[in-house]
Amino acid sequence: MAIADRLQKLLPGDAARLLEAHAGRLTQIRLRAERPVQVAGCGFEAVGETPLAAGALRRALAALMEYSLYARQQDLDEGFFTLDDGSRVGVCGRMHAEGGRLRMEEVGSACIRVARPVPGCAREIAALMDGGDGLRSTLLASLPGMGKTTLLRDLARSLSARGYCVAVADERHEIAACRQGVPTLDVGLRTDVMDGCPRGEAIGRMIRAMAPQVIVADEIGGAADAAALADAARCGVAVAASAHAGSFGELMGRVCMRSILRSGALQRVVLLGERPGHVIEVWRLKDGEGGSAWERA
Amino acid sequence: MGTRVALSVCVVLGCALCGRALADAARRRAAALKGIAEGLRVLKIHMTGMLEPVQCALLSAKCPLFAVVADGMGEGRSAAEAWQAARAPAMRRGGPAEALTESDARVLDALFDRLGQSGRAEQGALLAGTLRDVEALWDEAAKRSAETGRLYTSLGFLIGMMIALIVV
Amino acid sequence: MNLDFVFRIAGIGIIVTVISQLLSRAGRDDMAMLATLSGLVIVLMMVVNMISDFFNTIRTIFAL
Repeated sequence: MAIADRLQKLLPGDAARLLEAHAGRLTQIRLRAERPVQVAGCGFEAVGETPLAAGALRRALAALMEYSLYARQQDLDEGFFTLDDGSRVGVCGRMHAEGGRLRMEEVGSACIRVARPVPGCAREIAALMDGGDGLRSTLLASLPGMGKTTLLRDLARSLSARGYCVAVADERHEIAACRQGVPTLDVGLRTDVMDGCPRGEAIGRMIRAMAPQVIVADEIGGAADAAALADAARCGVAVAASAHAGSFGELMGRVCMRSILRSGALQRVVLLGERPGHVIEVWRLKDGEGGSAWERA
Repeated sequence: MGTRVALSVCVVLGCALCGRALADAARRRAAALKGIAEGLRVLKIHMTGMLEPVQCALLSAKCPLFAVVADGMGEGRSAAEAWQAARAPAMRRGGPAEALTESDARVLDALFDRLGQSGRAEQGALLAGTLRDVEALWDEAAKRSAETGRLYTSLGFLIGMMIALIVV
Repeated sequence: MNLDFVFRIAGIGIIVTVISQLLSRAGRDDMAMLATLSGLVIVLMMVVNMISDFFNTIRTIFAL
């Protein structure tokens, strides 16, 4: 059942009405104890009137976690958990240190990012990657909220449909929303998913174990990711990844990203913005220059 | 003479079996409690070991009573709510908890009230505590069932002999 | 004299005693009492005809 419908049943009257009014175009639902519910979508935002009681928030979250707090405790301690339709529920509240680890004691607010698969939104990017003489490793860059994860999901599906073996490194359960290892969202028939494993590890393992032709990973940018991408390039595996950045210059300004871009592991950078899935710029690696020159296509 | 002996033997055996049947309720209670104890062991593994959500874990436990609660959770209810709704029908004639007494049901009340609502360590402790209680009840029920079984079978046997003496 | 009859009554007496003992050891003293009384009643019913004949015989002998 869609997350908005589920919440409508769990929350009291005013909040339920607010959710119903904006049902089709919600991308964010924010629940806060003792304050009204807030919803947001593409270009709009609305706040309810009646404050949400702390008890109602607790009950709603318990229901979202299928009344299995113990199973989600580790996720809660990390600050978020993923629902079975791919929606991500971020939580914050009172934490305390226990045995050297942080534990979430009482949730005060929750931010639910609604997953809305948009089949076909990555067609353009898939065409960009699939250049006829093999796949070009591509980086999708944008500011938060521009649908990178949705695009990556559809990209995996498109490439799979084109006949490529896809491997997805889904560290935060957002791309495929796996349940016990099985994807609940459509990521393609020829796709394997490594769920919950740190990205660098996952990429290395899948290259060795699953013989993929392309690897899909979300939010790269660290040193481990650089090593993993170099590995992939060495083994002839293409990569489709995403990163947070507002411009190409911003990417080049970061040390790790710069080294990734200069290593030649990536051949294309696609900048997204203005609205979800909209391509603003495409940058291309200049052929024959060993990875140090990029030009705007 | 032969027919009289045969008839007497039939009467005696018939009454002994009647006696055993009367002791059946105690035996069924012991069997139900044993089933619940085994279900709790599997539930603990699935919940605290494999970290499965409550509804899945209840179904994996392969206990008819837990399956009823799992079905009740299907409409988005918590384990406590599902048990409260299923308690009365389950304890009626033909339900999976038919043979259980009210004190047995109270142990299950305490379990389902807190199932799934705390962290892993607390849930493990809850399940272990409930398992201990259920095993104690099962021990007592098994002893009582053995005693009652013996008593009623002997009574049946003796009454059968008496009827055979009077009638045959 | 019907010896078979005597053996039956003796048998019933023994069985009723055993039942009563079994019930009182199981803690059901009230049931034990009930069993004893029932046994007594059953035996009395069996012999009531003979008792009635006995009293008739006494009456005819002594012409009462």
